[in-house]
Amino acid sequence: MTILSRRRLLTGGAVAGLGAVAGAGAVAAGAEPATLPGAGTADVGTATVAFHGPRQAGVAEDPPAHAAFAAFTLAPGTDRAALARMLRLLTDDAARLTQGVPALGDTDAPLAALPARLTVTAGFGPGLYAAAGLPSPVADLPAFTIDRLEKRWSGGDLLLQICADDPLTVAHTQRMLIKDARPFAAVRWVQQGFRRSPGVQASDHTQRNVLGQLDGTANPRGSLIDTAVWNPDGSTTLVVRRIRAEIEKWDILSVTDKENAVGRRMMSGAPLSGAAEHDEPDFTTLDASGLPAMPDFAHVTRAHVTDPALKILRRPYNYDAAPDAAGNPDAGLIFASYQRDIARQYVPIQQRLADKDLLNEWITPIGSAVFAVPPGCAPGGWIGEQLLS
Amino acid sequence: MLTSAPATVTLRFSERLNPDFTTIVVSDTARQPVPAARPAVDGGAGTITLGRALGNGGYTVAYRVVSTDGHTVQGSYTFTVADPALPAAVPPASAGPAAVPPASAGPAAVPAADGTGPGGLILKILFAAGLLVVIAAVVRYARRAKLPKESPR
Ligand code: HEM
Repeated sequence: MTILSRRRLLTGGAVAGLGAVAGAGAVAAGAEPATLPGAGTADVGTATVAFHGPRQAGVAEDPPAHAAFAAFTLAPGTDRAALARMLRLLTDDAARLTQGVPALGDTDAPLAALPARLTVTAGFGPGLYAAAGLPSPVADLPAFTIDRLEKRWSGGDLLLQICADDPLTVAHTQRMLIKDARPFAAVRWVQQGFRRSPGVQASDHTQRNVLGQLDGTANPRGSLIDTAVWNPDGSTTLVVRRIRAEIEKWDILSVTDKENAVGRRMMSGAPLSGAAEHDEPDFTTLDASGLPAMPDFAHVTRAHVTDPALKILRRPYNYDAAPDAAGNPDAGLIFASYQRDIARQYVPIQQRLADKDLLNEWITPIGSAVFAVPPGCAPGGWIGEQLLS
Repeated sequence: MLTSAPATVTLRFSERLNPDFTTIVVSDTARQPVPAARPAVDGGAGTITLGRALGNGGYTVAYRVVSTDGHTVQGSYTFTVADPALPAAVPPASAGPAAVPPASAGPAAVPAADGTGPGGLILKILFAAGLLVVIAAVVRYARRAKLPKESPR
């Protein structure tokens, strides 16, 4: 059945073909830019991201559509030598799977054939440094008044961030990595999330999150990612916050209410002080009545950072688990943020948002974890070798 | 019209205000904000203390507050200071008030005007004698209504 005839079926056949076509055109005109039919989706399955290099992959690239964040608790007594054995294994798995090659002992080798831009990024929690007898470069975030943290989504000695444009690839990779980590560590939590599928929109178009907001506009780009994210040795840090959203309450709001909470237009993403998405927000602009155009309690007003060295790289994924019996959604963001230094960059922003942010009326942090992301490695090397060998 | 300049401006709402989400700004006809500290909130009342004495002329009081269920409510009013003891001012620009408050004669607060805005915003403007301007905004929008909360301008 063609789309057109299906459309007529849905409208009871009362609409003439031409009318239906005109109607479809009108709908499309107000919608968001989609990519042209068939554009750019042909190579999605076979596309790869290089694994080896001075920096780990999975940070600066455009986030693929699917992700699993798997956190582990080290088995008691795991020492530096055991950590090195584990990380050699996991590095070998990741180096193969990301290039479309089955892992050693892969029981489902055909599932490795389509990596779909697979990346595996390893992060070390404070507990891993303690196990290795080393000082930890990262510490748990301070407690914030807005936090309602659940143990099941918090902490972790080791993190594997697995991203790909295909959920089956993510599932297979997650299974292989957990299998090889099992002798050393127990699964502490796994958080699975998604973004738009490849080809649905032009890749440079800012994506909407599960709350319908354009999310990612003010992220550092190009060389500014180096300034904000990468240390000279190729390391960085990662904060993972699970943030539940009260979407049904949010959806009762008028568009104006939503815009005041964020400080940006829902449709265009433009700051309330400007006209286009990438206009810099101007916090001195006043409206006709003398009020600041950017409300002082808006999320963007509170989160805004001008110094490029103090920005963070947000790489959030949506989650949308099964609703409860009453139909209440269990949804929100797996808010992943990369920055050189958590204490210097992330914590001040989070503190300001905890102190005041209208968006807090609809979002609640329920999980929190911090990880140091060590440098990448050369072929034959392994992640963490500078630290543990 | 006020025959002496107010030192504080208080807005009274029917719901408790969250101090974090309460903005009150007084500006002159040139749209220059009059310096003031952050509003002090007491229950449903938000008060700003002006950082300088107002000269004769027209002023706008604008507010932006958030109801308990997260709706932003904002609006503005104008008032005029015409103190015979001060130099005369340029007449205020157009900026139409929701209701023009009359000057109060005695020390008691005098209910001046009620205006009903779109979205069911009912405004009561009271002027106490001399130093205090009280503007009470009774916010009574229905929870089910999704009307844009626009203010009477
Ligand atoms: C569910 C939780 C959250 C949602 C729905 C959300 C949503 C948004 C939206 C829509 C924007 C504006 C567009 C953009 O620049 O991306 C934004 C900006 C921003 N957010 Fe969030 N956010 C959340 C949590 C956080 C957290 C936890 C932090 C950091 C602690 C944060 C930091 C920022 C920063 C730094 C900006 C850019 C501000 C600027 O410089 O303009 N957000 N967020």
